Amino acid sequence: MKLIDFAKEVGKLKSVKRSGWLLHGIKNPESVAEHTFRVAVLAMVLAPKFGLDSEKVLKMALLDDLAEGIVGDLVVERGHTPGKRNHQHTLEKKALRKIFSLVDDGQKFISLWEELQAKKTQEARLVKQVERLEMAIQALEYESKNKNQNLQEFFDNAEMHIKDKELVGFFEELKAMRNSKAKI
Amino acid sequence: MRNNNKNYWRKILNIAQASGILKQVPRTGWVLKGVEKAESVAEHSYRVALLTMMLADKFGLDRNKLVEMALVHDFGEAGIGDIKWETGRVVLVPPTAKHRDEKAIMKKIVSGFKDGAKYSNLLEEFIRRRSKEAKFLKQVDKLEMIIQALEYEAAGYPPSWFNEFWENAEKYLSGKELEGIFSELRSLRKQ
Repeated sequence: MKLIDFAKEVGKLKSVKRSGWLLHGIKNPESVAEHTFRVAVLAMVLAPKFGLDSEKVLKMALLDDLAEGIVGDLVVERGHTPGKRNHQHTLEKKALRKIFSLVDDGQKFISLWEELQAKKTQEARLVKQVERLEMAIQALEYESKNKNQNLQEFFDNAEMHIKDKELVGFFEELKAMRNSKAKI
Repeated sequence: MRNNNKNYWRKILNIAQASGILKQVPRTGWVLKGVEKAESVAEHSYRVALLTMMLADKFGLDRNKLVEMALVHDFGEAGIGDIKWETGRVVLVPPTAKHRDEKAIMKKIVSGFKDGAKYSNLLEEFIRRRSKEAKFLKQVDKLEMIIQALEYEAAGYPPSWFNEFWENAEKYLSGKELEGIFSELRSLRKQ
């Protein structure tokens, strides 16, 4: 196992800024590592509510954007074609193969990542929706810090992807807080 | 029923907000040295979690417990910020004070949350180094710190700035399971 090299690949995510915020002119936006941290925490605490295997959910959450240290953070929905999205997927898989060749049993982590991207299993669907919820919470926090900031597109994006009845309930709470300009 | 749910989401939001604070709290050790735009506690915890995920099986540890513990191990920083408790081998503040504060903060973060005790207990287990996982996590915590120190050194900061971090890491890794990797890291250091 080449743990130090693996650690270096992971460390890159501390420097990759979340491009959606950058494109919106947010000063000093969070890194992909920071975003993933919170997604993982939320996935961890929410898994039991959905009766899901929390270990699997947690692993998936931590793996999601790992390839972006090599491939970068592509904002998928902003006018990028399905073709570009597929290309991104191919690049990410290649990057992950490289990263997981550095650890023991790497293939099983790649398989887990594939399962996550396919969004067919309950665990995968939960993680992907939690990811959008986290983004919405972050948007709310950025708006709270700067009155001139309007991050509607992120809420619209989250709304498109959050489908589970329970999570929609949470999302509605967030929207209500936003509309009432509650200090978050 | 509807109010119960609303209450549940409020608790989840508390946890989300505490995690958000960790994105803003820089790792004090680096800041005090003069590292610009030092990493946040969230970034550190993220890498620690991934490292534990890869190492757990090799050392016969409970992987899920280890990864969860890694995610929560610095939650105490959400209240008081990231305080520097040691310099090298010298302890600056009595551990009891630090532990008491961290536990109080964690309690507040998970207050009213149905599964809150689980995470408070995990943090306590880590603080008290009660289990194999807790002891191992402390090593990974310091190993990750050293890897970060090396990265700052490679970025051009004077290596001498980081001597105290290497000393501190040695205190926790010498004679332990991850000593081998620590030695390897030491050999990578520019002198």
